[in-house]
Amino acid sequence: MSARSFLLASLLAGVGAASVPGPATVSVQRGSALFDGREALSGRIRGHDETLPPEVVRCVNCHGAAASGSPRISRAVAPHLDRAFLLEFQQRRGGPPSRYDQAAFCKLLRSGVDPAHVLIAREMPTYDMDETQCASLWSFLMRDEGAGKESTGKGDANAQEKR
Amino acid sequence: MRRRNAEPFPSPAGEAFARSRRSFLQTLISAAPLLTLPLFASVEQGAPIIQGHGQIKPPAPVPDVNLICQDGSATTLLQLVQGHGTAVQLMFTSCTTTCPIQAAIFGRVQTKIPDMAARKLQLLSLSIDPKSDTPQAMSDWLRRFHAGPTWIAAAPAMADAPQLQGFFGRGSNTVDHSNQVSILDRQGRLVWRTYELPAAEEIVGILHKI
Repeated sequence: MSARSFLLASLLAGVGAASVPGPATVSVQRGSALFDGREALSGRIRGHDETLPPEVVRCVNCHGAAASGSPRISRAVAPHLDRAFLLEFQQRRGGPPSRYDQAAFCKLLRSGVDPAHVLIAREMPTYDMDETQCASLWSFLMRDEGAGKESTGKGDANAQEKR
Repeated sequence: MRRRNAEPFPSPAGEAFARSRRSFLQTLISAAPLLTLPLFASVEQGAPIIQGHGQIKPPAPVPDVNLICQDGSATTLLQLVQGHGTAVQLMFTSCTTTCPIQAAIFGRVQTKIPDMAARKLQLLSLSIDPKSDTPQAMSDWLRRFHAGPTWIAAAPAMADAPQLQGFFGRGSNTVDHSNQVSILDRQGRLVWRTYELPAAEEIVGILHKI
């Protein structure tokens, strides 16, 4: 391999790594990839033995701006997930006022039980998600959109939550 | 041996409870006809014939509305389903939320019954958005989910969409449509309605009994 092609290959590898971070890392960037499906998630409807194809259980399908922001899909069907929605104490599904933290968020994704201990709608899949995936997704949703910069990791997400 | 007292409420407090229970039961019995009123009212308004899920007794004939299929052919719902055991789902092709999940479930069903044509079984995805769901859009949607020849998509006329949506589930628009699967017998009658987003195995099990 010539020096030129080696440089090109290195650059391409770098670009690939930037678009979808590798496994076992916690980052806003990875959370973004998980949210929009660039990194596949394994999910199923409660009561089903089999997992569904990754493209039909992407978060963005129901919670993304393209879905919830559309005039065709009401936010009552699937809330637009952002810091305010997740961190505000509010009544959810008829339960007592509750808010999410990272642990409650991960519990809901895996079991379908919300922070007020109410079972969410069956249409929302449950996910076989490891700690780094869940932490990354939480970091992505907790990011400060106004700052225009992505924070990284669980620590940043917790710091933002305390504001 | 000590004889057990046959009176369920021998004490004064028990008798009072028994009286209140009798009164409650009498009230319930007298109110029973009222409880059926919403059901019949729903039928008159074209809303669901049977709410909930499970076996439909007696079987309910489908509304015989005109349909356009994904290949552009014109038919009626009855023509399409007569002679086949049919699983029906409501969908619209631009739906990003639950419709792809519904499609994945139908995909699993056709995999689990590889001889659907020989058994005269079929899957029908009925559009509730006929304005946008042209034959081309429905054909593309079926291809996206690897539909085989026994999986059909069809759209009613705009005016008939609410009636179909009411018959096969709930809601009157694309925001709130049922994710249940309706099973039709070979005479084109609704005989079973599943719970929301059923597992493929559930649909397969019911279709095998048709």
